[in-house]
Amino acid sequence: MTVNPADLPYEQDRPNDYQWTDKAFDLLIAGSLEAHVYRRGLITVAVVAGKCPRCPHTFTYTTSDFAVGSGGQVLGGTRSVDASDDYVPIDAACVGNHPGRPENQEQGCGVAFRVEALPENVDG
Amino acid sequence: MAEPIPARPRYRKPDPHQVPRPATMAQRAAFDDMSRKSATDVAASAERWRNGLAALTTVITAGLLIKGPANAADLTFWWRVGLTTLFGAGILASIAGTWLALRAAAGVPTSMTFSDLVRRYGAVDLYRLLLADKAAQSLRRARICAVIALVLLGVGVLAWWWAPAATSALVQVDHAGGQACGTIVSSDNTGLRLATRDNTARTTIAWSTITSIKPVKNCME
Repeated sequence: MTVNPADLPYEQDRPNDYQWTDKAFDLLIAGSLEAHVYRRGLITVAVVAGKCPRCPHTFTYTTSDFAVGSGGQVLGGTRSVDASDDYVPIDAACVGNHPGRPENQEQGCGVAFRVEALPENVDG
Repeated sequence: MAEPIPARPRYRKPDPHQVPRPATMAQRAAFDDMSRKSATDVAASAERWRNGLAALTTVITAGLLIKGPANAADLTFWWRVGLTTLFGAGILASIAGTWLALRAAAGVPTSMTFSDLVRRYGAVDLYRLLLADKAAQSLRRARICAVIALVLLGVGVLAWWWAPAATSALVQVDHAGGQACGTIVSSDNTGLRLATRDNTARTTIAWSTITSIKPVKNCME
């Protein structure tokens, strides 16, 4: 029987359990989930897209290590980033809607997982 | 012959001890929100700087154009050169700052296809952040220009308050034989001795022939 993504309750008990990271890695290897790390100079953007390791939602999660604040500071990319070509850890989460989600959470099924991917330097 | 280095797999399994923490995820979500607003935030900030710098440039330039030439004429040559350099460099720095702030606020429109963007940047978010970073750099330079302009103009104004006025020792003497102009060398019972401005010739004018003596800023030929 196929589970309707919207019917799966929000995960309250083990939102950060390693099993989600483990399942996410299996999905990456299977090709059901993709992680891309784009790096140019000191700015890095990561995009994780595909199937959620917990619910049947497909999602696209984008995150970055850089922001320009209006308080006179350039954040993140100044320069605490490891600019080597080593694996980049990305903490990601599903962005679907699920019943039982707390009001202070805007989206997701309640779990967070980590993937690690090699960066793709884009200097063109 | 060296062994070829095997290609590393694209993904690596994370360490079981390194799982995302709820607090970290909440902070990350807030940071991502700020990151997405980077371009609009820096543009809004640049707009305020641009308006301020434009107003500063306008007021200073207008003030110097209206009052400057007449008042500067009273200064000695080298003081005038110095103050002109200070005010000129200050206005140029102010204009450069305004231009950089304008560029940060307005950007430069560029046409681009989706495939171009993906090929060059990989993700739209990276392109947006690069634009925001570029605008932030322009704004940083604009602020440096503003500080330089304020320092130069401030030093110029303070120096102007203390600048010695050019003292004119030239006099124009009207006498029965015509008119003479130059600096006074000496005077006695016989008359007034004048040296021409370049000190190449001297002339003595008898008191009885002089009808008027008045100081002048320069000797008209």
